[in-house]
Amino acid sequence: MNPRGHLLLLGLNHEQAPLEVRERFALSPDAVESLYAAAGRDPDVLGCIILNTCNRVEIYLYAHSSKPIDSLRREWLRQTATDAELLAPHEIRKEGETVLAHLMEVAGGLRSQVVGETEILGQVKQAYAAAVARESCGSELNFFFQKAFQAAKWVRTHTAVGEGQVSVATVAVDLAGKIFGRLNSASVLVLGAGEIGARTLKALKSRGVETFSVASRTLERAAGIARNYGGTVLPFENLATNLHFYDIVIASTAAAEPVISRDLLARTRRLRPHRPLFLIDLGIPRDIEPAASDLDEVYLYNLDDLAAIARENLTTREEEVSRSTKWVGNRAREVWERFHAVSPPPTHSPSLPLRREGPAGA
Amino acid sequence: MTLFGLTDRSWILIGVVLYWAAFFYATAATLRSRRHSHLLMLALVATGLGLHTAGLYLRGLQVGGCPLGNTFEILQFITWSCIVLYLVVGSAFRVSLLGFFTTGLAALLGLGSLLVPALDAATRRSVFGPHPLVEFHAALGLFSYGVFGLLAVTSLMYLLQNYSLKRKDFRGPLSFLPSILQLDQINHRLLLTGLVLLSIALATGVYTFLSETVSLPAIKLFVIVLVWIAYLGVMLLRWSRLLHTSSTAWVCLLLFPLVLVSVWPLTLKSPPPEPPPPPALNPAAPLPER
Repeated sequence: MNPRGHLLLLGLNHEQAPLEVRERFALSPDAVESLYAAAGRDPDVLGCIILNTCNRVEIYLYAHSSKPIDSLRREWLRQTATDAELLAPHEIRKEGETVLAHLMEVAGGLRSQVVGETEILGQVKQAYAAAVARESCGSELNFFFQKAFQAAKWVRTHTAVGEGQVSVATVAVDLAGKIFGRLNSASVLVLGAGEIGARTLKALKSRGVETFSVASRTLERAAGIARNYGGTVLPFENLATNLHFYDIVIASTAAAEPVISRDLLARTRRLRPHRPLFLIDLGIPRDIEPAASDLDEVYLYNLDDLAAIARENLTTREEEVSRSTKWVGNRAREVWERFHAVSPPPTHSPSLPLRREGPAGA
Repeated sequence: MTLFGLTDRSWILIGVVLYWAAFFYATAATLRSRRHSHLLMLALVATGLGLHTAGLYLRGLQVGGCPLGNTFEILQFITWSCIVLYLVVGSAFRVSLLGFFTTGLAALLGLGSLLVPALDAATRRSVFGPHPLVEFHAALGLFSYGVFGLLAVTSLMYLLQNYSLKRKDFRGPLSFLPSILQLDQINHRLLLTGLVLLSIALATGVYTFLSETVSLPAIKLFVIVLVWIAYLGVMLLRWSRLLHTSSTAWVCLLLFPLVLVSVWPLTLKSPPPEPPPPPALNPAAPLPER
C-alpha cells in the first residue's frame, strides 16, 4: 500500500459520454460547493480539485484510501438527481500514475474535444485556483497540478499540437488577421447577445480590436456585453443604416430569418469602397444570406466553415498528438517516481491540506 | 571592358544566380510551411542587386549612357528596378512572401534575357541621340515598368489570398500570405507611383519629340502612351469605384505581360539627327573649283 496516499480520479468527459449524458451530470456552482463540502467532511481526503467544464466533470482526489471516491460519487449523483446506472457505463475512474498522465494530457489539450485547444489549460488553472482559494487543494495535488501545468507548457512550446487555430472563436480571429492584418483599426459589430458571439468578440479584442458595438433585440443583454468588454450599443433598428461603419460583423442571433440580406450588403459595400467586410455568421438558422458570399470584398463564414477550418488544422495537429502523449506518459512516470522518492512530500503548497468540516467560508 | 576580369554579362549573371538562390531558398522554406529568414533573404537579394548593378554599370560605360539599347538591357533594367523596389517596399511594409514572388520574377526575367543571345544585339555608342532628356525619359519610363512588375507580383499575391479566403481553403504554403487589406493598399500605392513616374517620363518624351533638335520614333511614344493610358484607366476606374479591388488586381496582373511585349518597339533606334541645312548660296561667293 502506498504510504503517502492515493491519487484518484472520478469523472465523466466527452471521450466516454455523449452530450445528452454530460448535460445530465453537469455540475452547477452550488453542486460544486456541495462536493467540496463532502470532500472536506471526509477525514480520508487530503486534497480535492474539481474540474467542471462543458466537456468534462473530473474530481481529482488525494486521499489516505480510495474510499472517498465512492462517497463523492454518491454526492455527485445526489446533486444531479441522476441514477448510478446511467453514470456507470460512462464514468472514468483512475488511480495512481495514470491520473497524473491524464491530468497532464488534459492540461496540454491532448484530451480536448478539439485537440490542442488552449482554453482547457485556463479552465484547469481556474479549477486549481478555486481549490486553493477554498483551501482544499492540499500539498500533493498542488505538486501534481504544478507539474501538469509545466507539462502543458512543454507540449505547447515543443510540439505542433497548438499550431493552427482550432476553436471557432480563434479561427475567426485568424481569418480576421488574413483580411485586415493588424486588428487595431478594425471595428466590430456583434449582432445578438449569445455566448459564442461574446467569446469571439473576446478573442478579437485579445488580438487588438478596440472599437466595437453590440446590437441585439434584447437591449439589456446588448448593454451587458458592451459594458463587460468596453463597447457601445447599436439599436437593432439602426443596423441597416450603420452597417457600413463596421469591418467585422459577428452574427449570432436567434432570428428565424436572416437579419442581413445580400441586398443590404451590396448597398453597404458601395458605401465602403476598397475596404473588405468580414462576416462571421454563427447563427443557427443563419443570420446572413449565404448568397452574399459572392459579393466582391465580402468574406462570409458560417459556423460550418469555421469548424471545417478548425478540423483541417486539427488534422495537422493530430500527427503531433502521439508524440506529445508519449512524452507526457514518460514525464508522468518521472514525476510519479520522484514524488515517491522524495521525503517528505513536496511542499511549496499555496494552501493547507484539506482538513475542514465544510466548504471555504462555510 | 571588364571589372576584376569579369565582363558585364558575367556580373549580371552572378547577380541573377543570387536571385535564383534567394528564390530557391524562399521556395524551400515555403514548401516546408516555414517562414524564411528575412535576414538571409535580404543578404542574398542585396548582394545579387550589388552584382547586378555592377554589370549594368559596366554595360553603361561601354555604351556611354544608360544601358537601355536593346531588349536584353531593357529586361535587365526592369529586373533591376523590381529588385530595388522590393527592397524598399519589403522593408517598409514587411510583406511576407513578397521576396519569394519578386525573386521568382527577377530570376525568370534575368535568366531568360541572358539565355537568348539574340536579345543582346551588338551594342552601340548611343541610342538616345545627343539630347540627355531622351535618356532620362527612357530610364524613368523603364523604372516605372519595374514598378508595374512589382505591382503584378503583389496583384498575384492579392488574388491568391482572395482565392483562399473566398474558397475557405488555407492549406499549403500560401497560408503565409499577407493580409488582403495590406496587399490592396500596396497595390494602390504602386499603381500610383508607377503612373506618376510614367507620366513624368511621358511628358519628357513628348517634350523631346516636339523639340526640333531631337527626333524620337513615333512608335516609341505611341507604345508608352498606350501603357500610360492603360494604367491611368485602371486608376481612374478604381477611383470611380467601377473597378473592385480584385478586378484591379486582375487587370494589373494581366497588363504586365503586355508591358513586357511593348518593350520591343522601345528598342528601335532613334533616327540620327537631321544634318544642319546647307548654307544659303551666296551669288557673290566664288564657285567651287571643279
